[in-house]
Amino acid sequence: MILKLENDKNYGRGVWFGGRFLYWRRLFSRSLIAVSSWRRRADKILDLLVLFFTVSGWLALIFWVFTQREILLSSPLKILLFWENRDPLVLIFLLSAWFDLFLLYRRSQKENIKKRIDLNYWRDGAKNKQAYYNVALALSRELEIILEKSFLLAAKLKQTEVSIMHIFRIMLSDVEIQNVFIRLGISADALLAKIERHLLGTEAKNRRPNFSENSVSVLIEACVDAISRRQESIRPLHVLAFCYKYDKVLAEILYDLEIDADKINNTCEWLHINQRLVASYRAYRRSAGLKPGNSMDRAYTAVATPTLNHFSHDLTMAAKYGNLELCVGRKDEINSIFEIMGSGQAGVLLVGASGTGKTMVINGIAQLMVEERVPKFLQDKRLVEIDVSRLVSGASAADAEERLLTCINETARAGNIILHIANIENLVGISSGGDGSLDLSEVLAESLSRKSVFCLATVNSDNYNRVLEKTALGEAMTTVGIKEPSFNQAIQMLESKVAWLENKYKIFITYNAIEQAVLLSSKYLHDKYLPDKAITLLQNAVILSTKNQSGNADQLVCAKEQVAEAISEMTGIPAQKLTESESQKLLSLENNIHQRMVGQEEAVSAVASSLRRARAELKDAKRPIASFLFLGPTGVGKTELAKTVSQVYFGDENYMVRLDMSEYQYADSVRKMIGDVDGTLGYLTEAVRKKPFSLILLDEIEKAHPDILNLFLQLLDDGRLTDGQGRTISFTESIIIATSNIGAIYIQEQIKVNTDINIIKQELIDNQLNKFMRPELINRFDGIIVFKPLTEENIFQITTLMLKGIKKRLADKGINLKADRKGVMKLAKAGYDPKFGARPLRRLLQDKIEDGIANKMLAGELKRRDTIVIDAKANISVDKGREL
Amino acid sequence: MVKHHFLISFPQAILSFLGNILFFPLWWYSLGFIMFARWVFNFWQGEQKSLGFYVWLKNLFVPMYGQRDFSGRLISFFMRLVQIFFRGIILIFWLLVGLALMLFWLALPLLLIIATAFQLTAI
Repeated sequence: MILKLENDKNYGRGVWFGGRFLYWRRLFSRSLIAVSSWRRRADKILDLLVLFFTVSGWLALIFWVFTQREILLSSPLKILLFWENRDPLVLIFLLSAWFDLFLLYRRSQKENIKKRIDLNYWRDGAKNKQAYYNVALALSRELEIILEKSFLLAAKLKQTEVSIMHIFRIMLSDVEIQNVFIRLGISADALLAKIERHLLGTEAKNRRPNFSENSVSVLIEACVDAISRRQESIRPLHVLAFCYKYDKVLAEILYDLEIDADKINNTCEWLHINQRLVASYRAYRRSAGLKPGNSMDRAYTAVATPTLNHFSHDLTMAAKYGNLELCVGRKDEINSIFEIMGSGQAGVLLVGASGTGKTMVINGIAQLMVEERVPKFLQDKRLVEIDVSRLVSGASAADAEERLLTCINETARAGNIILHIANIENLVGISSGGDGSLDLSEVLAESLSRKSVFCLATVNSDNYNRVLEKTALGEAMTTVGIKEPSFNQAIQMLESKVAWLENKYKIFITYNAIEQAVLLSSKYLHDKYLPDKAITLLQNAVILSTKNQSGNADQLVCAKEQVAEAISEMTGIPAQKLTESESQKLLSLENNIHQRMVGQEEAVSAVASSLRRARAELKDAKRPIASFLFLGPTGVGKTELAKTVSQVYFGDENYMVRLDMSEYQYADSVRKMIGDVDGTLGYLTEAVRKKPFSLILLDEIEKAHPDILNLFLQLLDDGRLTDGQGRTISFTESIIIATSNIGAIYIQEQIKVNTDINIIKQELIDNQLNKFMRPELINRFDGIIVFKPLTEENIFQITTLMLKGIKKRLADKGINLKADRKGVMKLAKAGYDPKFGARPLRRLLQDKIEDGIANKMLAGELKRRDTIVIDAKANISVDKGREL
Repeated sequence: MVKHHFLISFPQAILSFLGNILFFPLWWYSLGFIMFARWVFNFWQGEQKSLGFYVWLKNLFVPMYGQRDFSGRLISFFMRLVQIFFRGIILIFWLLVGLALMLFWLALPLLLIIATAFQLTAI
């Protein structure tokens, strides 16, 4: 809700809400605060005195009973006439009894003091009642004390205003607020130090402080929040959420500690949710006691339903005994179901992807039915789930149909039953044979259209479209869409589960873990839906942390690292890569790449800066991380760069899916690429479905059939492909690199005459590439990168790099390798071919060095601790190591 | 200015503290009694709900167990009468208990005074 604060000429800053003007008026002074704190102390002393007298009175009575035990044992009823015995102990009890009565008085007063907000006043609307409301009257006692202390703090620092920062500083010592920051994983000391530094830096003038305009705005908004949440008073928790909004400096301080508005709001919401859960659970248990514990309604008008009972289970009964999970945040969906049923529709179909919470909505309805907080036509009814698998198991189609008919008849006769069928699509297609016979779904559809039974059913959205939509059953029912919750909604749904998880596994779950669970699951688990996938992930993380930290059982914590670990276990994505700050990785990208790759400075820096750009601009979430087209002659390092990017960015070369496009030259290759309806899995789609976090290398893209190129048109633009089975595969976590040899000779010629690389690139795009690819495809790549032919210097470096590789392999066998610089130079010269780049070099090293070493090894000339020497003529010899 | 506030507000606070204590007897017979009476009523209402008394009364002529034939209706009419009778008795019992408790509330201070006086006369 967005409130617009305005200034009233009589009441000052305030806001119109619910037909009333909320304003702030309260006088603070040191003396008033001293008096009210004196008053609080006096109240406390009074309470203690009353308690003392009450307890001593009862002790006196018990002692008296003890002294009189023999008489009382012979006739126990005499205890009722204890006051007739003249005894100082009895007198003490009688006198203290006045304090007992006084205690009742004090208690009721305290209850009344807690209720600062009159909810009836706010429920009625503005008619005939005072239209101006002073927010100061709605403060809880804790908040009152906090504000008094903030005033004293500002006065002590001789500042003119009681700012939000003062209030926030004092609030940090409130237990509830401390809980918020503990959940956020923030040390209160760090925060305190920063706030105090800021407060001391504020200008001081020796005047009595007033509450600043922003503080007043915060208090007024907090009041509106408390009223909309139907709370009894404004508590510090309500204030906290708005401090962030009105104080920019505070927002900056919190931002430095990685806390943003969403985090604060969601954590405050978490505490509200927990309080609401406890309160509603108590109310729920009270009313659940009144729900009949058998299949009868309260008036005994229902009919016994033996067959139905056999093939079903009673959800209202499960809810009555607390066996269903509490449903959070599904008010809108439940209300629309009630509306549809209220308008006379007999069947409601909940349609949503699996994991979005259809079952939770049904549970929520069962719980509301137990509490009888439902429209009249649902009151005193049972919600019964038909178990379809049980209905059809061990029976022929005809038997199953008869069973279903009996169930429906019993339901219709009983009159107090609402049916629930989960995954109703299972009823479609079961038919007793013969051309004219109905199938199970049609049997149900008929009774629904006669309105003889009410039915709530759920179906997966895919199955709805595929199986149900055009059938009689689909038409007999009204659909209600259950959508995947938004990011913040999902976080709040998870928060409602945390208390249960924490209790079950005796673990502390931080806010960041919850946020990470929602974030990572929505990023990397594409086939599943929120909130279910986030719940599963969090649960796995909790189990992981209990396993890993079993040593010190009283300090079990599940933080975001555990969630990252859990997702890496579920998907194979290396966990540390997700949590390590990506910026660091990106900033040193060039260096990291050059550790493996020689030369091609322009290409490397183009790729690196393109990757950085893609990330820093908060890349369009609907496109791949980055896409490149590498152009250049063979053997200059195009594939090598792709491999290096995969290793540097994803942590391993294995995160690369390599497709040789020469294998996809025909129109029917599309099937090979994305699969088909018959169930053949597509090579590309299946690889990415299993490993969404990967680099896709399309080698020699110009050789692919134009139809395949059209697929990539969509892929580069939308970041997704639909495979043969109709599943949407997301490519948003992939890097796509296509290579091509087009214009290789042109590049070599132009480099020789020192043409600028950008001119070469433009020429390639304008006159060479367009012969093989459509301009729109060329345009969709994030970068087109031209690789230069290798120089002799490059080849020398590559030779050194390759020899290092051989040296490493030899080191595993305990053998050393030394190479003379001249020898390396000679190898480089021999392996250099301007036409084929570095490729002949690899062959040369194989022939000359590796084969030689292998022969020596087999001949037994080479043992552990020996050293291979490559001399100036590039010949190899062996230096014998010392004998042991 | 500051002193002035203190001079007014301090006695005010003392008065309100003492007034709060002195209000107690009045509270017992006014707001306190209303509060207690409300509690007794809620308790009785809860009993009524768990017995389903009104539900039985409302459905007096509705056949039980869906037996809509003549004999079914006849039997269930008498069955319901019996149920209503016994449930009514339980409800009346709780009503009497509640009324007795309310009387006790009103009499309690007086009883305490009498008992204390009785004790004191002896000493």
